[in-house]
Amino acid sequence: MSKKLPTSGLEGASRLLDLAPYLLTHQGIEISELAREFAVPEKQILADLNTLWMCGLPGYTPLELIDISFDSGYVTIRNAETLQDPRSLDKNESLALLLGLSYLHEQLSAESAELANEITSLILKVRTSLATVSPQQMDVVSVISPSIRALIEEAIANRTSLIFNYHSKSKDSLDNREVSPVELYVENGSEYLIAFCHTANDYRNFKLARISEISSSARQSSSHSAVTVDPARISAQIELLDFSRNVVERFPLATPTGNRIMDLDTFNVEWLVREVLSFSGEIRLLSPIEGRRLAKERAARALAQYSDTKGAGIPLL
Amino acid sequence: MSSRKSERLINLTIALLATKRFLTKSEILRTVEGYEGSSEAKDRMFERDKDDLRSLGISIEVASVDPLFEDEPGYRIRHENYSLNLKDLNGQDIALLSLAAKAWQEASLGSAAQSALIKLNSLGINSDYQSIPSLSPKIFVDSPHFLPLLDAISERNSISFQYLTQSAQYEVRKVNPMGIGNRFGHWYLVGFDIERDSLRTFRLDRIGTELTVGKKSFVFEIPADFSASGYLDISLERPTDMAVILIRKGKGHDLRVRAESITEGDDFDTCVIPYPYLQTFLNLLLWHGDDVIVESPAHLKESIIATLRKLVLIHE
Repeated sequence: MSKKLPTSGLEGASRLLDLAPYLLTHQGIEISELAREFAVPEKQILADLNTLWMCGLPGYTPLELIDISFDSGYVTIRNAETLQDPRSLDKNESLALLLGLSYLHEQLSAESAELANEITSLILKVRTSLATVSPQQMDVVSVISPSIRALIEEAIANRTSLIFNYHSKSKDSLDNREVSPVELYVENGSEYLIAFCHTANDYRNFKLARISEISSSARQSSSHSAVTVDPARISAQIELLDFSRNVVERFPLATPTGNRIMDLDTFNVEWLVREVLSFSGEIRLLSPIEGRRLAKERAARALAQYSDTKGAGIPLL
Repeated sequence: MSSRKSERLINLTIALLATKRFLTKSEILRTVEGYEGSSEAKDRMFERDKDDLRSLGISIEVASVDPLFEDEPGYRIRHENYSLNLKDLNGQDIALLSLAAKAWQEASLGSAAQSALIKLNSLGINSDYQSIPSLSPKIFVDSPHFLPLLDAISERNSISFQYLTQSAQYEVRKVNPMGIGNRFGHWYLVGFDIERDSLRTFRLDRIGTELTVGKKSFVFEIPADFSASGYLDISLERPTDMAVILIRKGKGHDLRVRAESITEGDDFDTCVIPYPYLQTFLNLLLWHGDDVIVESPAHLKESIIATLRKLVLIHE
């Protein structure tokens, strides 16, 4: 979030115009807090305050100049009434709010018709500053419910525990877990939770999209330090047989003419085998040998289930 | 240097905001602090400053020919144009707007959301979070095309780009962009494909690195009944076929959640599952190996048998 210190005059002016009304409604705010709110270093805020202090109405006597004091580390402002209104929203600010509201509307409309109406009227208000975009043009939904995320964040902050059902995709199992959450992180656009799992008695990563039936539990977490779960890596090699969009998106480095053999790392042979099968024969597993054997056995077992079907029982080639 | 410039811009803004009548350029250059040098230099400075303020979204009103001022234009900034025009907001509104802004975090509109939040907080209205449920919304965007597309949508610019087709080739598409939305963790553009003469959806991560935006604004209109969510639902979510799948007990969880009906059996349950795309559905079934058996439709059953044969063969 930090910006480089020597900002352009324009960027500085833009921040100063936002700073004045903010200070007027936050008299006595601490400089460090102000820096955090404006996402700039304290040094920058001090420079800004010194500049603003030189501004005012033509004449520029003490009567006309903005009066700022901040020697104590707390900022107060006087004589800045001309700049007391926050500026109108610019295009991107309006868009950020409109998309955010559209998302909240989608989340809350099932819970409360009243709030949904309130959000709709806010959308109309924000829209007045951006007449060329209508709410019908945007549709923001989410994979993770914001109330589930709020519950997890509260548990992290309060060091309490959670109980939920977790669907393990590689094992294709659904089991109940009690965990003490440590932190949330995002990888490749998906959200994960690192937590101490009391069921497994170890730290585990959980993909938020596969958590269901979540509730808080009475168990207090003992202090957990953030850990990285780093199970052993297994190197694997696959060959690309076809170049469908599916293959190109999963293996962006592959080209139809060159690179057909890809090396990859996996943490889980079970996952690897399932993934290879789910490519419908567009890729094949070369190594590890046990994975390759597993892929063949699983496909053969699945095929055998159709042996009473005409044609399926005929031996291969 | 730059703080001198910011100072001059602020002084100019204050002078133009405080005045009821229009100020002439010569009045401004004489009274507003910071204009120095030859009269030509001052002129250039003033012209640049006006452009700069306008680039910040501040609208400067010009009274072009006023006989009182001997053809010299006059300038002022109207409060109603300058100020945040969100009227009658209460604490709950501020809380909802703040949540809407906070959803962006560091995503592409993150800094815009942050400055919007500062403006909202400057209104001096305490946000009332007690009146709304506890929520932590987050919007994730990882496409570099997101902002340019939003711009093109609001400006009605035609665009063209390379698009990764089903056959894994890049093809040029010329599109009038109309809406944007996300489904299943992906962002989609909804737009009118000019060459195909119909409305289409485009997944943002399938758009190639170069996005060309037409220079002319307002080259097309968006129909009054257009709805991005409506179109996304129709084109992406509507199931086109039904399958009957036997799923082993205790297995196939991500298939079971899609099932319209589940009839319990001894080792396998019979599930009726809608699916929009055969290939995607086939891939998903194969993920589950011998925990699933396709009953119908016949062409899906034939496809899975043929594919399983191939899988056995290539892993010999």
